[in-house]
Amino acid sequence: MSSDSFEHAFRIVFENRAASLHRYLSILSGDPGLADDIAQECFIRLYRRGSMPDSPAAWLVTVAHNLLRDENPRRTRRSGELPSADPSPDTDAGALAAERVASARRALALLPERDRQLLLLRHAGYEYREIAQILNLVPSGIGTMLARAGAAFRRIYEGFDRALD
Amino acid sequence: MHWTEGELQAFLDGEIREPRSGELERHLIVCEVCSKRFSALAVSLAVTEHALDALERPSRGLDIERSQVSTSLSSAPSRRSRRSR
Repeated sequence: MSSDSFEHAFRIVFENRAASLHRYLSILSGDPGLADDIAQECFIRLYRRGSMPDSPAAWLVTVAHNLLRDENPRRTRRSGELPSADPSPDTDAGALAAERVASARRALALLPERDRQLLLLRHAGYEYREIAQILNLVPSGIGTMLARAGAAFRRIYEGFDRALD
Repeated sequence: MHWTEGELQAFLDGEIREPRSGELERHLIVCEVCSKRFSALAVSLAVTEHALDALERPSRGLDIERSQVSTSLSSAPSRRSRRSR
């Protein structure tokens, strides 16, 4: 791949993938600033690589997972759950809305890591074949795994939500 | 014959293309078992996506130029490494 064609490919990947990568990382980390920094670093590393991987989307998320893993242990050990950067109820949405956000975050934190990643990757717009590459899964099994992860999330989340009513 | 849970989920997620998606739609009209399963999956999807929407926070914006400039000045630290100091 020539330098010009790499520049062109890089620009296309950036334009098509930066938003979904941030979307995924902002919920996974609970920290939009950290998500910005990690997503930016992923693109810096892709550019430094100088050639396109077979699946840029999967490559970017794999690098992001590694960076987040380096960043997160201290924060997750301290809090015991996904870190939260939610706004306070009196400055943003109402208290009930803030409770529902907290319920969603707690429900996500109670899921096995793979289920959480599956739901967040789909939410961010990744296709099944990309999710399979990122998580080292068989593409034909993604639908079933997502169905079960979704049912598990719903069960936990609605349990919290009922407690609010 | 019934469609599997995974196939129904894939249809909801837009992963099944024509002509199979058309077959599945026609099947849902006549099959109560698949129709019930499909409804349950659709509700789970709606609940999940609604909850996750509420967790999203906007980006300050990523900068394509920063990715490229950081390379041409390869000794310069990235924004992330500066942040962690």
